[in-house]
Amino acid sequence: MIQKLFKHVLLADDDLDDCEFFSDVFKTSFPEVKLTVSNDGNILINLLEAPPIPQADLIFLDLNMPVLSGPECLEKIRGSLELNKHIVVVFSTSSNPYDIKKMYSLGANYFITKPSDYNHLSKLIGKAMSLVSLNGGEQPAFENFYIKI
Amino acid sequence: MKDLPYSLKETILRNVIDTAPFPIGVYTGHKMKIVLANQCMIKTYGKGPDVIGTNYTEILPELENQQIFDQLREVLHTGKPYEAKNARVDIVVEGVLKPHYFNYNFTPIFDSEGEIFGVMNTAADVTELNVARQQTLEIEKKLRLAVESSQLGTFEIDINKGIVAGSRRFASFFESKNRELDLNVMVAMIHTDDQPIWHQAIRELWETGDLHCEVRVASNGIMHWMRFSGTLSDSDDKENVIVGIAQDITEQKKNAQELLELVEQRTVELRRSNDDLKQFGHVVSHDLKEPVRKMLMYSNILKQNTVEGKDPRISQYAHKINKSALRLTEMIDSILNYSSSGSPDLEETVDLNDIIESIKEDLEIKIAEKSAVIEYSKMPVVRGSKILMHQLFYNLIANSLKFSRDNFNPHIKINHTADAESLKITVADNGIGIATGDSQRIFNAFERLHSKDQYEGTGLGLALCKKIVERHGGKMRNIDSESQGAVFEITLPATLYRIDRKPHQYNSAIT
Repeated sequence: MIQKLFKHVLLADDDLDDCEFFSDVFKTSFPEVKLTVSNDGNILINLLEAPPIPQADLIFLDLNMPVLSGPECLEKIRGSLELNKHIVVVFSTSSNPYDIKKMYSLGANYFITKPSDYNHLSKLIGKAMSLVSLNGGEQPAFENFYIKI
Repeated sequence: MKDLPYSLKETILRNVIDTAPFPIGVYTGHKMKIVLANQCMIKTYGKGPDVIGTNYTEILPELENQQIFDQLREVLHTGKPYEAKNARVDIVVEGVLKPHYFNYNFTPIFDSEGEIFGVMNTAADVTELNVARQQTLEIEKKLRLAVESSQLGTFEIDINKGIVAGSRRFASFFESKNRELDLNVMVAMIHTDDQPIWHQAIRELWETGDLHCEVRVASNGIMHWMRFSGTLSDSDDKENVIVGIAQDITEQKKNAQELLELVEQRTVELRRSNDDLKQFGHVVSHDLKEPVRKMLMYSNILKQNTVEGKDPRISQYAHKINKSALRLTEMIDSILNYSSSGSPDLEETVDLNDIIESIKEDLEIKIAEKSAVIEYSKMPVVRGSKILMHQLFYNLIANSLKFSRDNFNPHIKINHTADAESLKITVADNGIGIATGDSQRIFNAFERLHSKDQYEGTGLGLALCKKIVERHGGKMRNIDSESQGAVFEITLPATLYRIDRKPHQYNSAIT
């Protein structure tokens, strides 16, 4: 069993409220992990390409973002020699099966639909964190790709 | 005959003449006395049996002005035979003067001295043939009129000789004053691009016996669309001759083309408006849902963080905001379901038993709360969309649970029957039912028969159900039930019902 520890997690989301919810929950549950937020895809890629300190290798990625969208970021990450081992968890309002299938085929690790309940958000982030620390960068079977409460 | 005795020979000859199936008569002298007439001739005269010995001129006075007597006398005088083909002779038969047509001969008979003894009259009645010929002429005339008035041109193409003989109009199609034209010249006037079509049509002619093609012809400086329809002639004397009609279909082609362009244009417009709708759906789903989700988030936080007892109204308001936001989410979801449902796969194999079972799981809490019973006999497997079928039965069952009667446990019965044409499924409950006058209205989008406070809902459930059934080529209606409660009937075409063809009659219901 792999038990991966994360020192630095990135969140890419242009929705400031969602960033706030996420940060609140994340800082409460994982106070020792550094969280960096970028509000568009391009900033995320820039951040990744000029390695942040400490090294970040877990990314929560929104789908609908200006400049560079989620799928475009994922394609860049998976297409890059340096970045393709990074773990990417989709964090989107979408629960559309088409989006889920598409992100799976692009190589995302997990998929979370933003909940409308604060407690659910905390549970989902917790679940995602324990799944990625357990499985590392390995993509799960499709039926386990979409994380539910 | 040589060896026979003379008397027998004569008897045989007499019999032959008398019974011959064509008229024979012999006349002598200037008055043309009838010395011999066989049965057939007597019948042709039409003047009764006693004619032998009478004069031809007397019994057939109606022939006086028909040149026949002159012909006869000429033969009597000159000894030269006379022959008439298809000649009209009007004879009174049984008192009525009627035109007859004969091929007849007047043949001189000579005695042993070489003198003219009389004239033999033989004839073949061709009246029937003539009537048929006249009818044919009449039909041909009518046909020509029809062809002329419908602007058609007729043609005969002699493939062997390479010659086309056409009607005047046909010739004019090819700028020809002459009604006979060279086949090669005609083909050369067909648009170069369409010449292969012509040659292909000729090849097919040898296989099928029919010629059909539409080609462009340049005539008088204008391109005309021509339709050729023809067939190989059946006449014995017309080998490899195509007979047929040609029509100028330029106008039709133009109209068809305009129609096609119009359809294309409309299709583009429709597609655009459809795309707009999809885009709208996307906007609704994403942009409208987002703020509502935030409202839910913040109202949830507010609910949790309001200190009990400080101001009970704040917590109450947070609750109300939360509830409204939830309702809004629900409505947006059902509008999306109703409007988009996208292009679902309608070819999936759907086991309706699985569908009902999974709905029972989804609605487990409601079913337990209301102690509801869902009863169904083994359901068939159909072809359709799993998601849509799930929505259909989910909405119906959820409705039955929602509109239950106070103090009655909901009892939902799902039955089905099938025949060669259709599969009928009924969903019946013992709830508050639907008033007769409302049985149409309930299927309208956003139609609500009850206030929000009484029964929650978006007013889209049944409208969506109906749409789903129609998407599958079926029909849905509300039946007036004799017992209390609502009954819905879903009729699906038998083509969707392909896997389980035998109707099920299960005595023990699975609940």
